Amino acid sequence: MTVIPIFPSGVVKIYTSPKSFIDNLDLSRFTFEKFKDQTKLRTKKFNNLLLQPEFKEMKVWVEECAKDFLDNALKMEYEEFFLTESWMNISGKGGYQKIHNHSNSIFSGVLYLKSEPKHPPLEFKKMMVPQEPFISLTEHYKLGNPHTAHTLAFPCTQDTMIVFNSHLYHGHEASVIEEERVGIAWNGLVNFVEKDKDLYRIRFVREDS
Amino acid sequence: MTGVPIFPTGIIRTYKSPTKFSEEFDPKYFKIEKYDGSNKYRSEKFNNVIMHESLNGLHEWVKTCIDDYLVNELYMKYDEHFINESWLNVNLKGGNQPIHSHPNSILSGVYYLKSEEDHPPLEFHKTRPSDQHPFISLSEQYEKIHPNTTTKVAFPCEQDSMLVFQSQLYHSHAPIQIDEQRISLSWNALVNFQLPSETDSKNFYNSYTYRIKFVKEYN
Repeated sequence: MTVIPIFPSGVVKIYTSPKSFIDNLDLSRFTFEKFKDQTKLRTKKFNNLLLQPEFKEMKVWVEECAKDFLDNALKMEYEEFFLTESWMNISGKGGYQKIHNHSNSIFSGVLYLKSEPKHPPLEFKKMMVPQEPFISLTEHYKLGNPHTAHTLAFPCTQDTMIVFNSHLYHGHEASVIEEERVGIAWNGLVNFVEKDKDLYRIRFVREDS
Repeated sequence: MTGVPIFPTGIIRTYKSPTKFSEEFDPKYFKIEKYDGSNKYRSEKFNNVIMHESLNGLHEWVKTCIDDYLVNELYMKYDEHFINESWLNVNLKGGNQPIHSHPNSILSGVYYLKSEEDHPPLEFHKTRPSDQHPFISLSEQYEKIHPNTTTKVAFPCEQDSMLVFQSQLYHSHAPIQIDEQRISLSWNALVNFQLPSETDSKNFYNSYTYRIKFVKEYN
């Protein structure tokens, strides 16, 4: 007998960094903005922090992982990929991230530069777009099961990076401990191989070269 | 490691019957009609052919498979399940089935009573909800077919085997290319869920505020 789950909404892959990148970073150098009614700080997304000189080594590793994700998790044919946005998040006690996804992006990642085991995990959510009345099964499962779950949580272990398809909805609960969590998040775009001139295709402009 | 695929659209399970129900099947008991626009015949869905006494053995076995699927694949809490529709499909050369799903049903299945190796497989399709924004298409950009990203998966229609799947999954098959006909029995099933326990009632999300119960129209 064979059981086959089909058509996943996306793929999530965890990478462990070869070193603690936080050791060489001076966070006081960056300008953070406070989220409204939150204890969370963020740099401007469009600053693309990973392009700055002090992130050079980190960027090389992030790009290696991004390449592995495209090559091995998505098996994609492409000419190039690049990081279009990258930003730093500092979450204090009570800091949370509501459910969202990343538009205008193909794949995304978050590298946990500083994190404690008690920090809330990154939760991915299966979203529904009902257009007709539907029968709900959500309340009728006796056990959690990856085939039917609507939420999957991935630990935010320090010096690991979670890479995922940008359209996946995700968020995290409020942090309940005093220690801050520091993460750097990024979005990436891909320019594909031109295989057939008759296909509708788009090409993204790389703004960092 | 290729990453963790998350939130599958559904699960397909193949069951092989312990008895060759194909050998017990006698078409003389059933009335079939030509299906509009295809080289295909079908019995009326609402006749629920699996209730016919000549198919008692098959019916009992299908019920055990439904239990297995609900208990071991979906981990579901339920009081009962029942087949509310079942029908016979007789496909001749050229007969196909366009993409569709089964509304007003929770589980579906198809048992192949007569099938040849060269008959087309049952194909499941990943469908997108109506797009609400412009989107970036990745479909043409993969170097290989891969289960993480494919939008179509095909399952063989082996004689005396049954595919069980969630009714909302879109599926189809291509036209038959050979002269031998294929006969299958399809069914839809509904499930009545367990009443909440005291513990469940204390939990807002398990309090069954909204719930439905389906009427079993036969005993």
